[in-house]
Amino acid sequence: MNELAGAIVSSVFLGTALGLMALAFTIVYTVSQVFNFAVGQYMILGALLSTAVHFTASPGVNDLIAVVLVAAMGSATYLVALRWPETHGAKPLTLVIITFGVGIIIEQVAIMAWGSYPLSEPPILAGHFLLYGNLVPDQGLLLVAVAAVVVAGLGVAQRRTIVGKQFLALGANRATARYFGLNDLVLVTLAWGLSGAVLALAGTLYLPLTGVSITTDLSYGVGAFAAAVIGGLGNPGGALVGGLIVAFVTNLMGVYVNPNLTDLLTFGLLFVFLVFRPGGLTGNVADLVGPRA
Amino acid sequence: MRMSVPGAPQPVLPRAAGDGPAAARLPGHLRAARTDVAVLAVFAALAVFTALHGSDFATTTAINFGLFTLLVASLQLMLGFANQPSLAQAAVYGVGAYVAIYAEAHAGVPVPVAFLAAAASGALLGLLIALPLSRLREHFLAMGTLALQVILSTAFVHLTGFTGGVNGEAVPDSNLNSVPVLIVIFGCATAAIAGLNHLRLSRRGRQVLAVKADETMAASIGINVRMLRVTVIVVSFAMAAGAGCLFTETAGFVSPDDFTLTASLAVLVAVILGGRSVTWGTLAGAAAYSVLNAESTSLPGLSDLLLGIMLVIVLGYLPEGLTGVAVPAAWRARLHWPAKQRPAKQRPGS
Amino acid sequence: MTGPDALAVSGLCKSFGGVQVLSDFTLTVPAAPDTSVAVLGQNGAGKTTLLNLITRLIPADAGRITVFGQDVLGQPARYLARHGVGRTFQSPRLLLDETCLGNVALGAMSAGRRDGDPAGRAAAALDRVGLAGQAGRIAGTLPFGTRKLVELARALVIGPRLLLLDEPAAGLSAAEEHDLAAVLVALRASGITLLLNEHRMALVTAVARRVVMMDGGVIVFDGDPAQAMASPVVRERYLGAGFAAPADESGPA
Repeated sequence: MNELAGAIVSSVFLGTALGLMALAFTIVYTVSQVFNFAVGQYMILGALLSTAVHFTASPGVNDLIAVVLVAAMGSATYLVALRWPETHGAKPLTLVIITFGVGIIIEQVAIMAWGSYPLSEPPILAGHFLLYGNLVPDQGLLLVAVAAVVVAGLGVAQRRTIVGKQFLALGANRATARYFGLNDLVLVTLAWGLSGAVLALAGTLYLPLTGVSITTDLSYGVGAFAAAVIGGLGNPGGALVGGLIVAFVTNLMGVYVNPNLTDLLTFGLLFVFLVFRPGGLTGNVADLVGPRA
Repeated sequence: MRMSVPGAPQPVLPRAAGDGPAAARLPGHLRAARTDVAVLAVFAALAVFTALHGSDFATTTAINFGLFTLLVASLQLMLGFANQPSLAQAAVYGVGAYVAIYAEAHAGVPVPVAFLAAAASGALLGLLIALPLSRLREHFLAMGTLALQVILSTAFVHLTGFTGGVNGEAVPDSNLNSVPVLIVIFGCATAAIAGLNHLRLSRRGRQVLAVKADETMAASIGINVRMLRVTVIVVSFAMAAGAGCLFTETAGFVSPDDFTLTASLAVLVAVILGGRSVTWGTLAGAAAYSVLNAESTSLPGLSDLLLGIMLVIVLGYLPEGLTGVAVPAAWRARLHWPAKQRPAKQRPGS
Repeated sequence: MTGPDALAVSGLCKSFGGVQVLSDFTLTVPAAPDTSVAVLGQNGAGKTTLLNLITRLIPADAGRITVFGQDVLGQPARYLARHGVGRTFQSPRLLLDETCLGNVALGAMSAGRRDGDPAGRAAAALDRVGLAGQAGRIAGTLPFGTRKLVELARALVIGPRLLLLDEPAAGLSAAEEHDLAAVLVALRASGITLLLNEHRMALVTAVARRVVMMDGGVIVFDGDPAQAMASPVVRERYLGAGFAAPADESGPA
């Protein structure tokens, strides 16, 4: 029972982190129909910037600095690597592979700067409480609370604010939105910055619970993608649900069966959904299926 | 005033001046054969030069060039004909290699049979990926190839009974660096390029290219889009796996390090750098991959970073490859190359 | 009644998001010689959606569509071209790097029949629309109106029994429209059933024997062209009160 409780708690935390990453993924996808395959690397970069570069003595302030830096990097990624190709006829899939390349660059630079040895990171909230014989870190609760606020906030912003609606308009039909006067350069750059901020938030809040190493980037990235698809692409609430599902399935499998198979399981889960339910739990199938032939 | 003509289908408008009956023919395979001969000449010249040079280094380089041509051609088929990037060519190459070794070492079959077994295993992998994912957007098939690469890389390391694990597997009776093997490989490479060249003119090839250009239109004129997509992927993987078998005939030893994600990405970069011409683009791509491959063995640390940077630059800013930068438009028309696909400047979404 | 209807649509429903475009739409076109139906309606009335549903480029929400007695809604998009239904698009979808002959021959190669000489059949189809001399020209170099004729030839090369044309006259000059009318009348006379979405009343008058008008997702008028132009419903909801019938030179043939 204690072991199960422990597994459940760690799944909740992992699921929340994955959900935030999937949310970041969804933000960019909603606005520009591009999959950002570098979400894993951005997330870990956020944690590394907070941990390895001691800007200040306070973990909280370091986290904030890291969030701002990664947000800036997200916007910079769009402007440098994606904007010109996008305006010169690059196909969406090409842009996706470019993000993959960006992920590799981030990963390699991080390895050169900080090595691939796991680093530990001091949490913002250092306490614990006892649950069924497990020491549950307060940091985890902070993560969940912040994630809930972010998801709810972004959900509201998407539906109620002007900018949110502009995001949706851009995503639905870029050319038409531009004819109506939307400045897609500013808006998409903003979306990428927001996405980077959410990823850094996930990294700085979650990774103190498990240790930071750049070598796990692909695992988290695939998990986030699976979470986004399962929750329904383009659905912010679904992203969090998807994250929890992926985390529970892979974590419980890892605890009770074989920890080496978690990556395989994530792919497998993703595969099952893509084949049988590509719209995910709540999503829109038309986005994913090509013209009927 | 024009009179409409009732009754049997007849031309109702006066014929415009132009080439009459002579135009009722589609460009034939004979004209494409000229290109085949040119490619054959290139390989023949390379083979002669290598034989004369005589050194091990020359033979190895030439053999690698032939193998890389096959590998690049397999991706050229998938990317150039079906618009489907693959991140798994190196892994499929590896599967072909390991299957061939297993067949020869444990089942004792002769090399041609091992080759068929390798190609069949590649084809099977292609079916596995393409059948379930082909009705979704091409993003997901690309993801599927990434998953395949990652899973296979792990499998190569962990299935020690089959692959010898990290320490690799020795190849039985390999003919390292011999000119007869070189000739076989060059022959296969020429055949592969010629195959692609003639595919463009064939009925199926035209349909595949139509799907690439406008999938909805293709479906509306009766083309089976999904089946063609699956077929292209199956053939592409079969080619890569077959090349893997040929690789084992020349290498003394294979290990998972030969078939990594980095290698797959390098193939992708090389294909794009080479350009979209089916014959010369493939050869240029093979040359590019040779350079990338040599560079990665000498500078292992930097090669991943360099590859990431190249991926971003080549895909984003050099979609036509080196030919896009180096060859001015007037020459392109002279050489009958297709026009640049990306317009000079346009707004996204239009 | 001789044989099954060329086209029988019943109870067809389609909505996009919250917008109901077709609601319980019904239309029957019998398979009789010399049949052509023009579909009128404002932009957004669902004319193109109707064609896209029939040709299975989009899925239907509900309803039934049969073509010459064969159910279509259970079939993939490629079924139509392979079973005698040709279609053109509002904006022609051709391979712009390919010759006219190549474009039309592709249609011949793709419709499932393996009998030889797609190039010869393509040449004949181009001849039928009056483009025999243009067979070797690259499609991308042709003017809009000519491209539409090439697309029509591609639809013809499969030997269709039913032709679905989406605004065939859109973007054409007056002279081109006149030529097109002659071609379409000849096709109709040769036994092909025509269904065309159209705004140009001159073409409608020349080519169509029957006119239906779509509004609010259903048919609100069904009659012949003269009746259509005089009908108060059509005048009020589509043509406009000040509409004057075009002076027709050839009249309904």
